[in-house]
Amino acid sequence: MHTVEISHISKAFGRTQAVADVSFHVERGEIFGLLGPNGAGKTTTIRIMLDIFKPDAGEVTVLGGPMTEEKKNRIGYMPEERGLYQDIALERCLMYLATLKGLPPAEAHRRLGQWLERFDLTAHRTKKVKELSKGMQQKAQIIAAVIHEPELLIVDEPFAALDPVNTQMVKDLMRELRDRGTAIIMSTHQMHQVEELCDRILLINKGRDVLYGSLDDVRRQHSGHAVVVRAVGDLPPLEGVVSASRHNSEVRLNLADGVPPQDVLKALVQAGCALEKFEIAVPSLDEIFIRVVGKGGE
Amino acid sequence: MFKLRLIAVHEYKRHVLRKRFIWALLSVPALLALMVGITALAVRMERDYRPVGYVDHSGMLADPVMPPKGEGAVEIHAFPGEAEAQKALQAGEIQCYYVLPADYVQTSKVELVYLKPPNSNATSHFWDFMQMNWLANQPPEVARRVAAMSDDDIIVQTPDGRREFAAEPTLGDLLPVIAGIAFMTLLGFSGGYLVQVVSEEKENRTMEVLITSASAGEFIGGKVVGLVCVILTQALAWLAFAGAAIVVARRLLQTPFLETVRVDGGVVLMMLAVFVPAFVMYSALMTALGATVAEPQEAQQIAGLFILPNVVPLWMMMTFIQNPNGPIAVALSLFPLTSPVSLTIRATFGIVPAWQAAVAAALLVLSAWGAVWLAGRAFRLGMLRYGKRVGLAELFGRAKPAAGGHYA
Repeated sequence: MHTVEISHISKAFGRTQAVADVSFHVERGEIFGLLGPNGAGKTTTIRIMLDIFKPDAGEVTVLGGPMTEEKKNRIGYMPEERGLYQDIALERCLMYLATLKGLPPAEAHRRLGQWLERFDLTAHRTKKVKELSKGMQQKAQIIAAVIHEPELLIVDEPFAALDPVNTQMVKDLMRELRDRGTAIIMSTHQMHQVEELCDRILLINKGRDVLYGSLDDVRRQHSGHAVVVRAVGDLPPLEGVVSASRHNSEVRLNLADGVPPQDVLKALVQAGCALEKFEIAVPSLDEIFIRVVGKGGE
Repeated sequence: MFKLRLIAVHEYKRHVLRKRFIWALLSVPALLALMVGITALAVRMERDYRPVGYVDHSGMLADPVMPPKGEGAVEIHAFPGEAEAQKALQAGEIQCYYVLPADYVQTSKVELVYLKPPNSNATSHFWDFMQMNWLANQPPEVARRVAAMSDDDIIVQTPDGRREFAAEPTLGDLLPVIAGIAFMTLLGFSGGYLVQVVSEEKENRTMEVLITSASAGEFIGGKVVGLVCVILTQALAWLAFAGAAIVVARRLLQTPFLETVRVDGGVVLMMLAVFVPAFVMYSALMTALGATVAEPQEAQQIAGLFILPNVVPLWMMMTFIQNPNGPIAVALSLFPLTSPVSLTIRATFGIVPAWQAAVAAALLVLSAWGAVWLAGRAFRLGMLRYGKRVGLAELFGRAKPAAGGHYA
């Protein structure tokens, strides 16, 4: 049973088709990247998943069936913007949100103490939320999303306002939750975070899914027929290489059709070239994103 | 129910612990204290407790009967002749003196001599003294009845005797209309707050987190219950402050206005029957407004329009007084947005037929239910429309709700 299963959903607001046709599933114990350019339909998809909006067509299954009030206690959600009461104390705000997720007050209090400690917010517990920095508010928002130990966690731009230390802390938390079996859906524009964290991704463009699968599969699908080489000194002329381009100390060699990379490696070794790096060139997720979205936009 | 209670308690605490609420709560007693204090000070400064003298040439006061010494009483001194009285007046020992001529009993004419007009408490006390001496030879029960009578003792009574109104109304007579104005003020304070809170929750996306934790029904219900509790807290606090102010003012001012604070049980029952559903109705309308509009500032401006219908009965006060059971008064009493204030004004000047109060209460309960329904729909349609408002056609039309589906 998948934690989330979305099948051909669509949603229009007036004449605007926010989501045209999106399908995917999310497994227990994985981090799933929901990607796409601004206005692609990611947030609408998330809101349909959470039953904030009803889809015009298609089916949504969450935690083994349609969304119910009871299931809300098993889901954690962190919207892109703050979503916290600004004019009350941090501790009171988080206690309220935790108890709304079904935690008994004593348990909520106990867990909150631990989370505040972990995120370095204990000293700020009595401050009003609006007195906290953006990064602190973001950490507080993350606490609100995970304090009830959800089975499904949906986070929208979780690293937006965090410094490198806190980014690492949140990344560690996400990995920890994944290892405990939590299904995590992460929507972000930071492709390097996706590359580092996500097991599978879905790229939505103009309301439709355009790329879906494991990160490795997606990168392999979009890899060109090329190798990246770094060597001491200049490279010798090589057979089967159509063109070469230099990026700092590395050279990208585009190979002719039918020429295996192993032949190029053999030729370099035979030529006595002192190699520091030799690898199959795979595109970064940024490059894939631009390529796919750019093509779709043409 | 558990989450509804949580939301209600949160909403209640969030409001009553705000500085703005505490200031609003204390502003009324502060105002009352200021009013009572200034009035008491003015009365004290105005009063002159120096004795009043008289010179009796008529012989009527040969063996005078002195009135009891109450609040504002002054001593009354007899002088054998006008020269002695004049001397005392010049010396400031008395504030004035009366001269009763030899034919006073026939003419009832007296002469008042003063340097500065005497204080009303002094003249009033002297005339009480005269009245007592005029009645000294009458049987005690006659004397008592005559003494108790004044020009202002005309009381208008309803045929069944349940309501009466004197030429000089007391606080008790005016209590229903005061309650109506208090109702309106409470709505102004609290309704404005609610509309602000909901529109802020919409603007800063807190609503998005809340709706993934509780149902729309729990959310709306919790907010309405919380706000009604806030209003009741404020009402009870003001009532307590007003009670304390009355007790203090009675001691300080000795005014007949505060003497009778009698409240008709039927009127209290009627007020409860209309005020509670009216608060629910207005709270739900404010929630709907907050969820519908684009920005908190806009919500604040429109909230004022919702309070406006309550002012209409006050504008038409004279129509109500002249004809408390006329068609306008009855129509405004039954129309849910104007009925609370209309009924309290009518209850002040007459008797509201029980059937009208019952119909008004029933209509308000129905309206409250409808307002909660509308709030639910507005909430679903408008909660995630950042920077956009929901149109009326859309609100009452067949648009698909965002979540839940119970209100479709």
